[in-house]
Amino acid sequence: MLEAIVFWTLGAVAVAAGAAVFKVDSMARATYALAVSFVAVGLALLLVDLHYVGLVTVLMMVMEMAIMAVYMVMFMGMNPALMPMSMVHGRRTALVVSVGTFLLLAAGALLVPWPSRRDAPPVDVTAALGEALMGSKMLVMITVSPVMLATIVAGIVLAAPRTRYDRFGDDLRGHPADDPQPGGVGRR
Amino acid sequence: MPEPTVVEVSAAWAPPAALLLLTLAWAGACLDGLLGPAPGQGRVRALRRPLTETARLLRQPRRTLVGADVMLWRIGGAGLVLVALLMVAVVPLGRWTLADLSVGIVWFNALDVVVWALVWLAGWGPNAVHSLVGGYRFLAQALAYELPLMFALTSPAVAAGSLRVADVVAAQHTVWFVVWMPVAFVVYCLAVAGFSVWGPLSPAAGADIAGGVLSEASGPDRLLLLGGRYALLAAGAAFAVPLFLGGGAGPLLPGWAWVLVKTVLLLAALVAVRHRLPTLRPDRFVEVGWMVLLPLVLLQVLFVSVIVVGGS
Amino acid sequence: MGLSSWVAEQAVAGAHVLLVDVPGAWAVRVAAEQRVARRGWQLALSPADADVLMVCGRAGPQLVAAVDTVWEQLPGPRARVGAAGVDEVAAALDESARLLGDETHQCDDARERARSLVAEDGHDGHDGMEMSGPGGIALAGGDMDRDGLEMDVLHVPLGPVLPYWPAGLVLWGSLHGDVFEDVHLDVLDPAAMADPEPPAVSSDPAVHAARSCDEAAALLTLAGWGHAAVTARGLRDMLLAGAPADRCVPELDRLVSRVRRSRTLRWAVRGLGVVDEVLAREHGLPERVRGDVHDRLAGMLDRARALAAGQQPTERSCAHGEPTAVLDALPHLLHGVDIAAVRLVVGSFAVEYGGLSAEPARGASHA
Repeated sequence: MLEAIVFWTLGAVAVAAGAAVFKVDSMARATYALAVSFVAVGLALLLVDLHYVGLVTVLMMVMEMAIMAVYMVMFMGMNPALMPMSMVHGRRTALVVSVGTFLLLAAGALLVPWPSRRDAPPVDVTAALGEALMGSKMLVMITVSPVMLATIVAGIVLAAPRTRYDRFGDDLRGHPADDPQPGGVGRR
Repeated sequence: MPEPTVVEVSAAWAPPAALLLLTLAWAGACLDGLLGPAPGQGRVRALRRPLTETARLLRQPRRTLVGADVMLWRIGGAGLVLVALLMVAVVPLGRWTLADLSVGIVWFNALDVVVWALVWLAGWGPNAVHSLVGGYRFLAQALAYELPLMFALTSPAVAAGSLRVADVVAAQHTVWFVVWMPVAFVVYCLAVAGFSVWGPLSPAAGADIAGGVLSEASGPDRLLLLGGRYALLAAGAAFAVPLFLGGGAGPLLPGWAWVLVKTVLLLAALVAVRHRLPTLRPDRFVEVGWMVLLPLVLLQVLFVSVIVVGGS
Repeated sequence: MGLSSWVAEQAVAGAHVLLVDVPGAWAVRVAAEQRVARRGWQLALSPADADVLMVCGRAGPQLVAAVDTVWEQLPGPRARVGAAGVDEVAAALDESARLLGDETHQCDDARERARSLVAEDGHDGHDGMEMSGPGGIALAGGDMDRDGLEMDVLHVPLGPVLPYWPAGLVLWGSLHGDVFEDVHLDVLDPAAMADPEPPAVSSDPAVHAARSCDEAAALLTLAGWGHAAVTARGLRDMLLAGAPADRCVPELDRLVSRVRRSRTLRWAVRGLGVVDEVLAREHGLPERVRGDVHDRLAGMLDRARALAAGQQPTERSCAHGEPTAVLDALPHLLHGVDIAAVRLVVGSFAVEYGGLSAEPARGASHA
């Protein structure tokens, strides 16, 4: 009973906060309304005993929204959301698609004949979930994340306006690097 | 390995726990007044500083500025104390804890990430130059210490084979983790100073930006911001005890007394560091965090993992 | 009621004071700082933090206008006092304590402010401003910053009422994010600077040494090193109180070696505000100014030590060159520097921008 109340409350909060992202007229409020929505979803995961997944979702989403504050608010010159300007493009199409997707997924969640539980849930639900999702490919999954991080870093290096030649000179021997705001380690 | 006996008490104990945390925060503030940068003032006056400061701030009204986002500003300020209270909910006081979560370490980690959001909101809210710069300086610095902190929290979890705080305490029955995970402990303490906007990691509230995040807050908002810093320090110190300092282990005194003693000692050490080092500027600290701290902590986790796998 | 008056008493016992530094009235400001510390009060970092606004010295008209603006930003309960000379400091602070504790006065003040706010609001019209953001302020325009990113540009003044900031100096710049471009410096009430008969300069080396210690203490506070700043301030007080050289000089030696040896400080401020040979020659800056913020800080403390050991001051208390030369050179140094570093760089030049006052009395700390 209590679980049902909590679930429905979290669901309502998630949907309402998600809708609020488009209603508020400030980038900061939009960012954190999105954060609230994600946090509600993360907390809902706690209800199915997926404690680790739920908390990590909350952690990641809040960190992402904080970093979004750096990009969205700081780098978007002339924050359009501060003006009474509509942030929505192709309004009718978007509404149709989003409502349609929501109804489809809701119908799936409610009408699909889910199998009923046979035994008690495993002691370590997170481990069981991990096994079921990743199974024998666990090592691959673990190496994927540092590879992704390396890709992101490489992308930034490629995209940055100051190249290695700007920083170290034409023969790449300048030592230390010529940066307008040098980092703390002072290395080459 | 002895069975981790941690009893989860009812939620009715939450207010006394909150009171205990606030008392520790108050004690931290008193100590800061004693050790602070005005030694000629006399001890009694220095110890009274939290009281006079609270009284002064309660008499002040709140300020608002043109175009300020008041709701976000208040959330940012008030949230710090709330986060500190939630952090200590998983710390076992001897045998009792408010919440025996199976993922207590992740809970703490999630809460210290919420501090990112709160401090930034406290900087964004007032729509003022110095506060906004303070908020962004905090984010830059947090990006530097957060990943090392996450790995520093992973070390005890790997050694104990569990994310549950009680299991981590039980795994220290032979030797405390601080002995063979010193790097993780030092990085953890650094991160506690970081998310409490404290001492060498307080550029977000530094004098070189006229107080930064604190520059436009007055009255109850300011009280919550300042109190929140001390509360976060106390909560961070309290969490270090089960994680690195053996929980309630120790001769003579009962478990809960040892937890309090260790918390107070670590809190005192953190408070004492405040004025002894210059501020580590975030644009320089970012490189140190990623190029120095992160590899060191990763090596530490590797070392711990090797020992755990080799020993099992 | 007993409780509210007890709370008021506690509040007044821990008041925060925002000192307004008037050019030429350095001795008054120092006396005020000492008095504030003696009372157990604190110095405020910003108007929101302050209960008492104290003007140290006789302020010129432009500075008074700035002070009026700052006065409006203090939350209540507040008190505004002024001390034209060192001997008036104690009385001014006592008066401020009395005003802070006076409930009727503060209630009247609060009511007066609320009324004037309502009157202002009535005149505001937000219609027709399509480009306006929150509060009716126009949104910032964008421009390329130092790193080639398009950032919003904000025109920001720093000073004149700003703790640990040179007296009477106003810095106008455009902030791209938190990085300054196009810096332009102004000195308020410039008549004092163009004074054909500059006021008598103190010839007492101890006062000059105290002044150097004070400037070093301000820079150390900006760098966040509280303990070293406290030591420097203590030395300043000792020198002003007339302590003998054989006590001051060893202490100064200790402080100098501490600052020089501190790797953290050097790491934090390394490479900021570097004055190289070209810049120095171009603006006629002396040799002492060469180097970065850390070098100049060490230079300030070395100078204090030399003066305390008895060396006579060779020129006006400007340790780092003529004010006009420094004012010319600063915009070049501050181009592309972030706002916190600007504070450090400006604070590293020990220059009096407004002219020195009459000789400050030795033993002034007993006031």
